[in-house]
Amino acid sequence: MTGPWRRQAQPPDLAEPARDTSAGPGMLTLEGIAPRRHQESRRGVQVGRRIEAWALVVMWILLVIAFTLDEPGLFMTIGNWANILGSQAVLLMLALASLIPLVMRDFDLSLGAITTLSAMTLAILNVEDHMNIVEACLIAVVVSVCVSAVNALLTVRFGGDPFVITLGMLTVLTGIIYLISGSATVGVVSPAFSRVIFIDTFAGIPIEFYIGLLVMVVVWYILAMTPAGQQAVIVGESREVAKLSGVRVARARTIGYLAAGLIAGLGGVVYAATTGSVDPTTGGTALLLPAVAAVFLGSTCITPGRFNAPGSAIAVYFLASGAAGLENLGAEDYVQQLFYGAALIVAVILPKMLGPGRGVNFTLL
Amino acid sequence: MVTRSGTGDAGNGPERGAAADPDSAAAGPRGGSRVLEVRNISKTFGATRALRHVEFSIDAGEVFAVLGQNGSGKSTLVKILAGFHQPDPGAEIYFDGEPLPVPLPPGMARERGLEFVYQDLGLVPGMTVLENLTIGGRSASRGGANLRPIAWRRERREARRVLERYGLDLDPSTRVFELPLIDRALLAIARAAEELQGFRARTGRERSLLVLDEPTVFLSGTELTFLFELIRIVTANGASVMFISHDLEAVRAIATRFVVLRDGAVAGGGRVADTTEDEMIDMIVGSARERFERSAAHTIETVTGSGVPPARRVRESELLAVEGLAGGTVKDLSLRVHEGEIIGLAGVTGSGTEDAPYLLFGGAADGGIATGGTIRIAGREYGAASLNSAEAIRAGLALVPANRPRDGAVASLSVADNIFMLVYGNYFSHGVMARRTMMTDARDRTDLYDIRPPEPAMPLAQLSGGNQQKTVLAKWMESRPRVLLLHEPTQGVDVGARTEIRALVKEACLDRGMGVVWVGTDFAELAEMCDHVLVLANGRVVKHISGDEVTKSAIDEAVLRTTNRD
Repeated sequence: MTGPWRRQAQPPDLAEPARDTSAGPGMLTLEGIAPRRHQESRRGVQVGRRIEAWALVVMWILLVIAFTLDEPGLFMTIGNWANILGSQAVLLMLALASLIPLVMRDFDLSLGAITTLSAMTLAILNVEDHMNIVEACLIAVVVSVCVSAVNALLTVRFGGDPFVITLGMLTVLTGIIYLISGSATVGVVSPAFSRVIFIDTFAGIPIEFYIGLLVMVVVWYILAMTPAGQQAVIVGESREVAKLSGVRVARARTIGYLAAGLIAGLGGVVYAATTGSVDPTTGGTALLLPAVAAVFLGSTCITPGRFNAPGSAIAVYFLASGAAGLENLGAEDYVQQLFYGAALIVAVILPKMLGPGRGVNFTLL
Repeated sequence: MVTRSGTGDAGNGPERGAAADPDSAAAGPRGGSRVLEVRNISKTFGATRALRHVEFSIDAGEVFAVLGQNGSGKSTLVKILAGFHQPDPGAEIYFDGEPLPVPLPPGMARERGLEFVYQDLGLVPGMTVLENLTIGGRSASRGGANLRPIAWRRERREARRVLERYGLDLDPSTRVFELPLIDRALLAIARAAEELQGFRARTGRERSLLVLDEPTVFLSGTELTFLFELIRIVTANGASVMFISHDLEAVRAIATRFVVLRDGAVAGGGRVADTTEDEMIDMIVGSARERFERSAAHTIETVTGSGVPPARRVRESELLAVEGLAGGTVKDLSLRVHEGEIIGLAGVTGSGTEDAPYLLFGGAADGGIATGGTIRIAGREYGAASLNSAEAIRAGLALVPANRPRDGAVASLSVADNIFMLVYGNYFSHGVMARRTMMTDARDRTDLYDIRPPEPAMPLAQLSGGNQQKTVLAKWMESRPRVLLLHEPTQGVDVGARTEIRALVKEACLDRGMGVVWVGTDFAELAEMCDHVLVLANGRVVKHISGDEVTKSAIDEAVLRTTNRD
């Protein structure tokens, strides 16, 4: 663009004429200013950024190649992939559920328990009360959202610490799940229902995979592509700026909790369909922690330094592929734990080593 | 967009001579070229009057400076314009010829074409340049529009164009924390200017005002030229700029007219071109400079002056020698502290004074760490970069930080625990903590340092600010420091405690020969306490004031004349 704003076009007499130059060498004239230096370094920066953004995907591909070479005819089979992709739907949905409050630097520890509660509610209504499966699903999801509404009320409205409040909620929900199930496994839910979600496949992969994928796309769209998502990011990155720029912070956080509850509730529905019968002892932290790990791991890719939906999904399947490969190799169960934990720690620490301010700045607000 | 050729003129044009005197309210509120006119603005906080009948007006397309020292009322004025503070009844504010409601409802200023850029810039470091540019629009988005897709590609292109228009070569996808400070400042200003541009396009109005609150604080000389260039672009585009600063040099370089606030009242003003630097300093500091003679000159003379008793002179040896200290805002600092001496460090924000005490102490949470220089304490030499606070304490340094609640004391612990936290070990023997002995000793200290109430078991949080500060001082005295580093030790402390703290420090200097480095913005206090005052600018010592020349006015003047220059 040409015009009066080009630095080069500025006549030097713009500065006050006849200045005392002893105050600083050449300070107030426009001559002798070195041109700004961004241009030359930009290409390098962009390449570096792109590498960082796709590093986890590359790692995933390398992992797959390694396992394929190591165990040909075992890892790269339709069956194995159907298993890897299909079995992670609940984990993916739970990761996406935790992602939304995390973007706003809220943390909901009770989401795993909400998933179990949703599944248990569905199972009890369907199996013991013989309720129509569609109605049972609806009620299960509504119950989940209601629990999140309580979380939102206690944290956003009354200013409770999210960590403590949702820890309490996690414990309370665990108790409620035992209470309503009589501490026994409840099943079997409608086989037709299980068939639709778990048994039926599309392109060889169970339908539940596509349900998870759909949720991922919706969450991605809202967070990355809409003003609503930007508002959520502003709330998470600087609550002060959010308030001063007119973002309705309390409202945004409340919606975040509710959306998380909704997705966790849907996850419970898929969970019930997958397992057929719901065990009150599973769930809670056992479900949540790998999901949260995936969200953190995912924050290192696609848009590094920011919690994001595609990253979370990639992390879920990266971890699942690794675990499946190790299992095929005959590794013990605990190897999977080691792999999950180590991957998370390495992924979160690496960006910090690249420079100050890198990586997700995770401080609960 | 205006396409006036060549000159992004800050106002050297001849047509601006008319309304030269900012004090005069003679011209009516509808006086043609006025953008902003304020009349009779006063503000009372409790018993103090922060502003007294402030009046001035700003013309279209000019850069108007509001000058004044810390505490002169500049920030209060800005906050009134932004709608954060209510002025006292009787205030009148006219914008673009129309009266604004007083007090201004929050947000009203922006709707009328006023934008503010504060020292903290209001950027979100974790978000990209583009995201920061668009925060305003996004935050205002409601309902269905909230879920419509953002055309990132197009917005990035547009952002690049906008930035270019303001002479900025920034990649819209860069996250703000990756930018140098100057680019952040320029971005924040460009963002505000673009809001004004949008306002003018939307409403068809011609007048708008950009308020820059202390924008030069962290900028070096070269960086300032970039800022000035941007300001010229902003005024060339048709906005006026209100430039709030204590930086004389910057004001003289960029502003057309100015007004000076002193103690909340207008102390002068006029056209910059018609006013000499000395005249400006007189307005800022007060013409009766001689009034501020050091009140405690005699006490200091007993230490360093001609009246030093011989016995003391023999003891006077070097305690602390700092050579070439660098890190954070400090570029190159050397100083010496001798026995019984109090060395003051003075300078504006960003001059290096705020980081210096922490760098000497092995780096603090916010001051960053030292990158170079050596520190010699009582004859032993340390690399400043490798020094840590534990070593510093062992070597005989103590630090009373400015941020007491965060760095200085643990509010939830008892007074006794706070006093003895450095020397807990003394009370631990045979596997038992001798709490009772500690409490008895603590009682002794509360008497010694006059900490009230004298209840060592009380949580520190329940004490007043002054008594908390005395506790912090007591804590460090337990470590028997050779050199005490003080950062704003009397800030936020009541008058009584302030006097006591000064007396305590002075006493330790006289009795034990302790040395002190005192960093403060209360220059009257520095003048009263210090034997030497080093004035810092841009991380370097630019003036050394010592002996009888250590007066408030001397420090004032040195700080004003040398603000942040390369």
